[in-house]
Amino acid sequence: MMLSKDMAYQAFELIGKHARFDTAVLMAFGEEGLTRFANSEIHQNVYHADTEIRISVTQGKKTATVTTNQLDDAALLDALKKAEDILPFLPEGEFALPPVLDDQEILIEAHEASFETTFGIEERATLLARAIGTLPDGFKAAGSLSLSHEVRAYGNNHGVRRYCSDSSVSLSGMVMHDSGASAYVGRTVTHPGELDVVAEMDAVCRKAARSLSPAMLEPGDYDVVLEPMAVEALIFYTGYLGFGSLHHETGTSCFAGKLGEKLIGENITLTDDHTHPMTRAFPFDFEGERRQKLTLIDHGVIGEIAHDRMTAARSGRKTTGHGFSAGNGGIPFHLVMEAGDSSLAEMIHSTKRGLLVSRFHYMNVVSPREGLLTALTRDGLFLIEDGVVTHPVHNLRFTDSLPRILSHVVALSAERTRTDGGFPSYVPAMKVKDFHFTGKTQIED
Amino acid sequence: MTKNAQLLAILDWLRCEGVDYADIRVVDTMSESISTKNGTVEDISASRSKGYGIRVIHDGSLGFASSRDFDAMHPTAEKALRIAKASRLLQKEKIRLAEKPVREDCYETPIQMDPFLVPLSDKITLLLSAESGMRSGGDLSRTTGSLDFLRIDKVFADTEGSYLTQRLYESGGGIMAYATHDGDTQVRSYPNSFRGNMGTAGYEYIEALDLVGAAERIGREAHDLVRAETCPNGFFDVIIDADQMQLQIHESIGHPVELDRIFGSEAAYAGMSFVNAGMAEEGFRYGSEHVTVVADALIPQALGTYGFDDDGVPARRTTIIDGGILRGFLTSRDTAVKIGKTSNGANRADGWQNLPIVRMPNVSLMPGNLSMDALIGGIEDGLLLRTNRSWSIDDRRVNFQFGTEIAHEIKAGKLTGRIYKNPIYAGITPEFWGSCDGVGDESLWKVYGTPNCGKGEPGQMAHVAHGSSPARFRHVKVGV
Repeated sequence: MMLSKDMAYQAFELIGKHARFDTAVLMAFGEEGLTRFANSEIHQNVYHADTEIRISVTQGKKTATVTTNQLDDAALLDALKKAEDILPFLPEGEFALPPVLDDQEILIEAHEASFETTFGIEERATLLARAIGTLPDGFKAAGSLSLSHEVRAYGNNHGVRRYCSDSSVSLSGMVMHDSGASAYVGRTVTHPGELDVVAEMDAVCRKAARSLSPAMLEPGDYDVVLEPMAVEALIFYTGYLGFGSLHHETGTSCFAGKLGEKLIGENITLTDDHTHPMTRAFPFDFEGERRQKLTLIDHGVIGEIAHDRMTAARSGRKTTGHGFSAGNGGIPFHLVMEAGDSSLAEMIHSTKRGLLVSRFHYMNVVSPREGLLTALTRDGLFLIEDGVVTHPVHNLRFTDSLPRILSHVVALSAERTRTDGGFPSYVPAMKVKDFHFTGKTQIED
Repeated sequence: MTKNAQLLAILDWLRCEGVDYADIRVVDTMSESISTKNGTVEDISASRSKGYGIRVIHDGSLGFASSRDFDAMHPTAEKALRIAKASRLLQKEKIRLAEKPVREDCYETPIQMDPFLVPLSDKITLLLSAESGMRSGGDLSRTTGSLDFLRIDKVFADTEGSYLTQRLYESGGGIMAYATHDGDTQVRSYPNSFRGNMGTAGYEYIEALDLVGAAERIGREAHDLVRAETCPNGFFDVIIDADQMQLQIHESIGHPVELDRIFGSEAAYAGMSFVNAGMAEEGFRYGSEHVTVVADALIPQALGTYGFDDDGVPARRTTIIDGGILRGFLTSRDTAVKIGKTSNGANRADGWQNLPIVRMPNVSLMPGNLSMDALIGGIEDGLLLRTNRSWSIDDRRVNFQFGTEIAHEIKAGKLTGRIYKNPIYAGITPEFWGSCDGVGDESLWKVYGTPNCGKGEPGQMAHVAHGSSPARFRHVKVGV
């Protein structure tokens, strides 16, 4: 059963009535039906639902947290007591963080019940049978199609109440040829009618067919045209590494100590905007604070950092409402990148010799202070010669620094895409000069 | 053994509905986590999560449903059955399960001290003492400490008649020292990065880590590291210490030999493998004769140790690579049957709410016969690499790149005392393992837990481990 607003608020009332100290409750409900397919057949098909209740009790400079998934009154009060019982064992902390007092209710009820009739258990299987049941010889599909309902609710014993529910359907679809050539689509939608599974998988199949017989290419510097899924991965790390408050506090951000400086290209503007219709509405953070819109990069100038309450207190600021989990600082994850005036076709046309990148795999931070990232290309890498995509090539590894990449962006598309993921970004395609590829992915005979 | 009548009644009902197979897992997980930073407690939290998952195979098709509501077990079973029937709409090959012994049994992690009975004040004092020790080692900008404890109670019952109970304990801890100098920040961690080391054990495991005893050295190393030069680029002979070998084994051997991945189960998400199912029969050369790798879920105190996997298959030891030759895979009942084998007990789920999938237990590089002096003595110009800092590998597990916290210079068979920061090395999996020309002896062999192994959709985290001694590799690409 979905966690309703009434159920959540009743729990807040119960806990608030018995709480002896400042007490905050975060409730997270998740329900998901996920149909997974591989080798063009369903191989895993699952359903789960759970509610996590996190009770944080604060006495002066001490805070203790207890989490449970048991919702009955006795279990909630037992969890509260357990948290209160921890407090005497704690030494004084660094700060006495004040309770959230902004008592204007935040209420978003965007649960979409009609998804059940179009993406329910049998409907997902039927849709997939139509989409991938009869692929051309030599091709097979893998991925997942899922329907999720989520609720996040926050309340404290100062009368603050927040409730936010939504629903989404996600398609993660890959078509692969027996030779290993592949293509991929990732789409998350929150409104009925926004996802045509059959059409999406058909497009993926046609793209996979263009990846057959890849050539070997030596690593080196290449101009790259990055499709939106590839841009998303770079932008995620730009937000996390460049504007997460913990990385600034520890001095491990590539932008630490450089706020207000123009470090990257004039054409780069990036915001964290939970109000943008192409991000996912979550207007308060995991500490119950109202989320603010931030300009992270303004025409190349390094702008605002995303804070939670603790890193804000340490740096003498106010939280921006980007708390995630204790000890991790603020993290921006409603990322919206400003568009340019180009198009994917124009970027390819203007490239003498370069690579078209569909997406990246396993991106990770090599050296945070330098903003050095590494990842592999995946599911479609193509050589561009004299303005034309000429043929597919085997995947390559890149290792390059974020500030350098973002300083070498020569074009951005006017069209932007909402990318998949729990918290989608909204990004254009991007052309980057002299992208640094450092390794091949083929085993030499 | 007293059996849960509710579980047996649900299994009876599923039998009557004509399922090929069904099981129910009840999992009750209790955890405690303490994090300190700069001499204060930054986070202290406890959690409890209890629920059950029901797996059904009907007419060769799979359905799985889970819930935390024990009053709703029957509708949850109905949902699992409905999902299995829906799966039949797009299925070519019926799921079959390899034979397994039917048994009623129980297992409990042997512990000396229940970590949940150790006073919080003792745990906090330990971490704050270790932080203080690190600060005595050098000029540090930040120190952190952490302790993590879990108790997992499981009940497994299936339609074949198995009924198994398990109580697993996990304990882990670690410390980190950050030093900042001249615009740079470097980190040293003990006993490993990412919250230290973890095992299936009681509080005695924390005491054996001796966080306080190691603290001053870690603080000093961080202080010196931030002032060190950046690691040079080039091709070097390297010794990789056990605390980095664990992730090298994990990414470039453990994952590639998961049989579900080889069959394409993870193709769109975590990826596939350059290994195919015929390679073990063919005797594919994975590495040099020094490379022998064993999957062993029976190693005392290792994080991937248990009594039974979530297929109800008893934990066991399996040779994966023998003298460089691929001999086996990590399997579940439904994957093993496809290669004509029985499962080696590697099918595990993250909590009650997830379907079991093939996961590593303890996958280890077996010790060789070289002392540390002999390993170092065999290098003219090279590096000793320690403690993982970053990782990345492609979707077929061929091209890997790792960063470590520190590199120690080796010249003419000796450590020079010079250290480097920001070391990175990269390679191609079979070429790299083929370049291994020596592994440290048993006295150098250590097991490191990895509590954050991600796989599957919906995403699951597995607790696994890897044992290794330091190992030597020739002509490895270092730097970008």
